[in-house]
Amino acid sequence: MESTHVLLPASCRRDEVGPLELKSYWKQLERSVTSAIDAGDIGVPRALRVTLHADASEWDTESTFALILESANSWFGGQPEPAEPATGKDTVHVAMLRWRSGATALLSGSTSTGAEPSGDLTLLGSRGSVYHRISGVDDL
Amino acid sequence: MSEYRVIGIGGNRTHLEGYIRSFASDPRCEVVAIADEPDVTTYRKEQNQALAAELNLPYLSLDEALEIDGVNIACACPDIERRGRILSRCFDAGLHVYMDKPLAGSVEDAVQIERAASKAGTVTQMFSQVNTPWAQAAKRAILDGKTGVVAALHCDMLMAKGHLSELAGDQPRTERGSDGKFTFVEAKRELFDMGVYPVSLATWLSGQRVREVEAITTNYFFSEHEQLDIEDFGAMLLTFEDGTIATAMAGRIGVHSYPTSGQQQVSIIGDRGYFRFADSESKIEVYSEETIFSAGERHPLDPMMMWASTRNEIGQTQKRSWQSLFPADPTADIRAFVDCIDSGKRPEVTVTDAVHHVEVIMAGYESARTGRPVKIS
Repeated sequence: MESTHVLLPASCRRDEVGPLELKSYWKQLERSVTSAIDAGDIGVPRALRVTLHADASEWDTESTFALILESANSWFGGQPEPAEPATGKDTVHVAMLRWRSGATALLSGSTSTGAEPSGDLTLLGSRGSVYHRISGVDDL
Repeated sequence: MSEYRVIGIGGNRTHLEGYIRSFASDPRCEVVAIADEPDVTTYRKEQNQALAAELNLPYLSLDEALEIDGVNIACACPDIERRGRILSRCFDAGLHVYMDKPLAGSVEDAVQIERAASKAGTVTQMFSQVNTPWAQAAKRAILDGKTGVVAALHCDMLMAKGHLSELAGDQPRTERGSDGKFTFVEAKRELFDMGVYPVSLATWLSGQRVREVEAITTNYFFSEHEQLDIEDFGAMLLTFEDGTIATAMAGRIGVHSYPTSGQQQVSIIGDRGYFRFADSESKIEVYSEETIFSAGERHPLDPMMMWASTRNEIGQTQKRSWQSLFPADPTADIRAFVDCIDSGKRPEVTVTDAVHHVEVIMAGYESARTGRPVKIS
């Protein structure tokens, strides 16, 4: 059986994602990932990693975390169980979650003052994977 | 005569395949023999002899190899279950030891090795990612204050090898914990084998010990792992002494699931923002009418594509769609080890660090079994 990797088109580049647009950007990303799942590109979603970082003047860590948890629930079907509370310091909420199906997620929502929206997403399925970067990477 | 005489313990279908060639390429080193215990399985003995033949080296018993005149380095890749006694013997013989990862299959074996190393006072280093360009860049960003105070580290080691396959069942995997068995021909326990990379990276970057571990191993991606009832994927949540969080995703995700050998990266959340460091991030991308990559057929004795020797047998080619501008030098970690012997400098990942990695991973298995956090004393 062939598996696939799906590199989602970066319809919004880093300089096009301002703090106020983060929610609409994220929702578009959620729809794109859902579309890839529905098309059967990656088989059954089994594991998710999302790290999302936002400007502290526009977002708090709870709201950032809630945004990505909502997407995870959508892709895995329902709430995680048990719904472990997020942990971490004031500026970062991190949780490791599992769903009834066995699907696993590591979610991290965080903020810092003046930050451009940034982060990354990895969704591993039974036949392939989806990846997305929300910003560039630091120079080596 | 070279400065250092090296023996390799293990053979083909172990990491010795690569490590020993790195030693051989270092002008300071002369590889003098491949060795192992005399009572290994026929399969293991044949693989060891095959590597010795490829390198035109004698294949000796461990006792014979340790008595070679002037031998002073062992590159040790025996089966996980035999590492406690074999590595201890190397230290008892006064050798510097380059150690395969993870150090051992139990905390007890790891501590036994550390005690022998401490008594010998020789140089130890375990293979890890810390000498890669991207890991070094991450460390520099922390030390130079670029990240600010670190609140979280997110590390991934997702190996894009093996053919994904239909599973027999659709139920979540149930973790039974570690039974001390880690050597299987067709697959590996990946929380252990891949998980050691993010664990070693996160502890090295933080410079701290882990005090609490949570882990989940409920997924299956491969029928080979399902049949053996071993995990092919794991997630971990680590809490360091000062409350800093680290997370780790580790496992095998399928050969077509990533454009390189796998996703290797660390994201750092600091009070100055989000910073990501990854293998192959600065790259050219190549798409072509030509065949850029051929995975080859499933090898019955290496369906997870773990070993270069079997990937060559099935005609697998190098993935070339993503070509890094800063490719990791496969000899860098071993060169750093020999540099430390030369200079007396402490290696970045020593036997003492490696003992802690085993503690963390074993706590991870216990957490995955019980569904509760496990504290490390």
